[in-house]
Amino acid sequence: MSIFKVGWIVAVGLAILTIVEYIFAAEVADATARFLGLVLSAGTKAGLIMWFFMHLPRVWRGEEAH
Amino acid sequence: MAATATSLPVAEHAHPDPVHLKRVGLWLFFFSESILFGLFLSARFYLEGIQAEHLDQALGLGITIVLLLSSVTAYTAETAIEHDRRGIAVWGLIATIALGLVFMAGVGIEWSTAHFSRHEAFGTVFFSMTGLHASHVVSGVGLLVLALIQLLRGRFSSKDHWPISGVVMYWHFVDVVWVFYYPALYLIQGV
Repeated sequence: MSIFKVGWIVAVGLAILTIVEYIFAAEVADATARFLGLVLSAGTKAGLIMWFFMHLPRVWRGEEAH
Repeated sequence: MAATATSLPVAEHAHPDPVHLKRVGLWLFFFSESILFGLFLSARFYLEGIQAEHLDQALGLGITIVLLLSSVTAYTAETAIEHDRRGIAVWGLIATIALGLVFMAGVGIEWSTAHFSRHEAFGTVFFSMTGLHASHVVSGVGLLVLALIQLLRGRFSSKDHWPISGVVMYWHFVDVVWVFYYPALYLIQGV
């Protein structure tokens, strides 16, 4: 199922980031560091979804593939 | 006259791909929606800073995983129909709808077990943010159901599948919003 390969790789990335995010919130006591870490994690997850799942690059590509 | 003659070739090329136009329009809609969701997020930090009431962390993590998983199934459905894999597309949409309903049930449980009131500052931001987001989940599920019905009736193919792509993009957007709302509500004060 090579056509779904990208989706599963991104899914694994999202799962890892979500677990890291949770552990980070549980373990880091400093509020500023925790805030910055959570912002970084959320931004990365949002970026992965927008780039690969929402096909953001197609916006400036002009022509659709189909 | 000469000016008119020279402008004709330009006019012939002035018809952009309609699917691309729809895609750009949908992104503009997402941009306007982001401002709305961002205002609620700002209000959360303005009213409460990083303080938060006790929330069920296991439930919060659970519904977050469910929503992220639903984005994967939605992506699978869209990719499948792009390659004329109709059966996989149908099951992808069904799984996405089911996961959306599970997410809604989780939010319902959180609402019913919350020990804070909507009259408190945190209650106001919590119910407003999750309520606004949940309304988008409900509309997303409704749109997915409509796309599924059309797909089961034989519509859509690799050549014509924009409605599925549009609905799936909307679903991913709802997921992106939760990616920011989850840590802001559940994790920011520490677990």
